[in-house]
Formats: sequence, C-alpha cells, structure tokens
Amino acid sequence: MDMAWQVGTVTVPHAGWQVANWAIPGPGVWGLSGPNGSGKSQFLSQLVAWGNKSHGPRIGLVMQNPRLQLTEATVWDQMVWPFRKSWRQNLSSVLVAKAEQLLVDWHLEDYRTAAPFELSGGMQRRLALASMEILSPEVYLLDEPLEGLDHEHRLLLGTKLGEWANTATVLVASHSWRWLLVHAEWGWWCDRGLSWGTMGELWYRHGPPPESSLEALWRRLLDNGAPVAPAAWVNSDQARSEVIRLCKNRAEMPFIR
Amino acid sequence: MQESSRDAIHPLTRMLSLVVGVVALYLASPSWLIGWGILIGGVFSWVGSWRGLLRALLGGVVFGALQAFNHHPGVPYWDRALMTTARFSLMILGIGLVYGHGSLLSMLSALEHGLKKLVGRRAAVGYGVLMMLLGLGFLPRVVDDVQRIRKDQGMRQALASTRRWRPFSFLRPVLVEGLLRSDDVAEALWSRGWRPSHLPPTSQATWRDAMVVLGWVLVIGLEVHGWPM
Repeated sequence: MDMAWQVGTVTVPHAGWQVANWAIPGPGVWGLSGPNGSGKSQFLSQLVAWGNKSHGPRIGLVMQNPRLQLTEATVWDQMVWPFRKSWRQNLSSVLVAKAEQLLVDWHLEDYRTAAPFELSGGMQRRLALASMEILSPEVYLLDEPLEGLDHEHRLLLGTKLGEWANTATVLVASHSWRWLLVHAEWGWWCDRGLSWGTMGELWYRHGPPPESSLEALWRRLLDNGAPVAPAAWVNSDQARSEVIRLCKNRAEMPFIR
Repeated sequence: MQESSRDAIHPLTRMLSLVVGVVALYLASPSWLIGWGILIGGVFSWVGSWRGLLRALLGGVVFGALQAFNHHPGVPYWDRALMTTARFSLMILGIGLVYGHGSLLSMLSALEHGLKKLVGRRAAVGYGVLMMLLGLGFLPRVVDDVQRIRKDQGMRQALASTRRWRPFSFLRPVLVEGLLRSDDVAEALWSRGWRPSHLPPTSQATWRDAMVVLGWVLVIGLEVHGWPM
C-alpha cells in the first residue's frame, strides 16, 4: 500500500481509542466499517481537523447528515459558493460548465433553483456529494454515503468512486459490507482501534450473520478452509467460477464430499 | 414519557434533591468548593469510575483538613475539617445519586403532572413543559451542530482557497436542523400519547421518596441551625 500522507497519532476522544503512526493511503478506494459508536465518524472528523491545521492533502468530508453541509439558498449556489470571492462576482465559464455537468451527473439539473432543504434525503446527499466533487479534494472522506440513496444512485456513486480513485484517495465508512466488498479491496475494521486487511478478510472476521444463502455458503467454505476469494460471493459470476474451480479440483479438497 | 412509571425514586423527589443540592452548594465555602471540584474532576477524569470518585472523596477530606488548618490555625482543626468535608462531600454525592437515578424527561413529565394537578389540566402548562423539553434537549445538539458546520465551512474554504466568512450561510443549517428536530421531538411525544391537556403518567411516591425528602429536610435544617458539635 502506498502511504501518501503521514498523519501520525490519531486520537478519537469520545470512542476512547487512538491509533499511532497512521497514514492516509495513496489513490484508490478504501473501506472503513465497524459497529455503531465505534468512532468511525469521529475518526473522519479528526482527519479533517488534521488536514485543516497541517500542510497535508486537501481533504473533503461528506458528512453522515448532509443537511449540515447545505448552507446556501439554492442548489446552484450550494455548488458554486466557495468560488465566489464576492457576492456579485461572475464565475468563469469553465467553472459554470463543470458545475452544470456535475448537476447533470448527479441527476439534479432540474432542481437548480430549488432550495436544498426542499429536496428529499437522497437528493440532499447527492447534492452534498456533487458540491464536494466540484472542489476536487485529494482525499474524499465519505461517511455513510449510501444512506437515502436508491439503487440507481448507489450504482452511480460506485461509478464516481472509480473515477475519483484514479487521482484521489477515497475513504468510505459504511455498514454495507456488500457494497464495500464490491468497491474497496482494502480497508479497516474500526472497533476500539483500527485493524487493517483486505475487505474480504475483514468481512469474514467481523461481518454480521449471513443474509443470503450464497453468503452463508461462502462462510461455510471459508470455515472449512476452502481456497476461495473471501469477497467473491458479492459477484455471482465470480462466485460461480470459484465454485467450478473447486469442483474440478475436488480430489485435492477433502471438505467436498 | 411512559418510562416514568418505572422510576424507583419519584421524579419530583429527584427534582427536590436538585434544588436542595443548589442550596447545599450555596452554603459551602467557595474556596472549599473550588478545591473540592478540581480534585473530584481531576481524579474522576483520570480514573473514570465510581471507585475513583470515592478515592477523590477521601482526597477531599485531606483537602478540607488543609483548608480548615489554613483558616483556623488556633483551634483543633482535624475534627472540624473532617466534618466540613464529610458533610459536603456526602451531600454532593447524595445529589448525584438521587438526581442520576432517572431521566430528565421523566422529571419534567412529573413536574407537568404536578402542575396540572395543582392548576387544572390547562394546555398552557403542557406547552410550557414542552418548550422546556425542547430547550433542554436542543442546546447540546445545537452546540454539536454548530461545531460540525464550522468545521465543514473551514474545510470548504480551505479547498476553495477562500477565507470569506458567510454568517447567514452558517445560520441556515442551524435553523433548519433546529426546526426539523423540534418536529421530530413533537412527533415522538405525540405518538407516545402526550397531549397538552392530558395528565402524563408518572410513578407513585413510595417510602423511599419520603425517606429522601426527610433526609434532605434534616440536612438543610442542621446546616441552617448548626450541627451538634
């Protein structure tokens, strides 16, 4: 793992733990999961505080409650306010085109003049994500970004993560293992500290009881020491090919009867 | 508001203890109180347990002794110091135990019940208590929200390389969150059966409440008239 920025010791006061010699990794999507109250949001908040006072990367946090980030009277103003140095300043055509494109990307182009607080919860989250994207941070911190998003926009967020990860570090805190396993290869489990690993390993060690028969089957295979990729169950094609491979080599696999 | 019916100590007794606690703190010497508070706070934050608090109380006894020696160097001071520290420490500990024996919500609910018994089931009483509930529930959350919004604005200003301060933009999410939260609280109260002119359910007073009240009356009486030593 490329370590892009050395943060040092991060203390999470309310959850009562700290992690020493922590570093923000390089470009890519990184997962962060853990039980309620384990300090995930506080950890992200501490990273923002560190970013504000150090000469580190440009950090952008999309909070768990997007309403706290919606400060402007209209959706358009919400997108462009940081770039207005004065009330009447005209924005550059490049910036206007970028803002318009992002509204289209996030399916908010019809709400340009609407007040952010008139939007539904999912739209507010999309607006918070879009208004962070326009600032092009080097490190995106997304705190429970799936909350309120429908299936279509969860897919859209996944696509966006892929784009951002080419040049930026994207750290996503979520309770959705399935979604994290699809989008992040590596990450941390947060519970009285941070433990590092592949998302598949972390899911196997800390994930909740299975919710689908395929997930249950995968747990049983791993419990029996089967050489399968832990995260393969989230992709049915990959899961099928893993099972076929196992069946072909069944002579070497004593656990398959 | 249903949980008040399960309170082991009646919420009004807890409220009375709070009032008595204020009186007791008023009666204590400010220098003693400051020293005691610093000591208790320091030890409790260091150890973070009731055992730590009891150790702090013992530390308070030593501090009281030193205070008494400082103020009355000519008289036998150990008895006086121990008495001063023991009585105030136990009073404060008693307030903490009684007050911390239930939620603020049930205390306000019992206050509403008592007032409606006294002046009749007037909706104005219900709305008054509702305002108190909203106010008390809001303040810590508003402080939390303000900190988050400030942090977010600082982050965005850093990202856009601007230092422009926008007070109205800052207030907008605070107000909206406050309105939404009041809506949530009102909906939660209504769905649990609260009505402005209804009597809220509250627990029955028991012999424990009578003992606590008598205990506090005795303590305050002795504080005012002097302890027998």
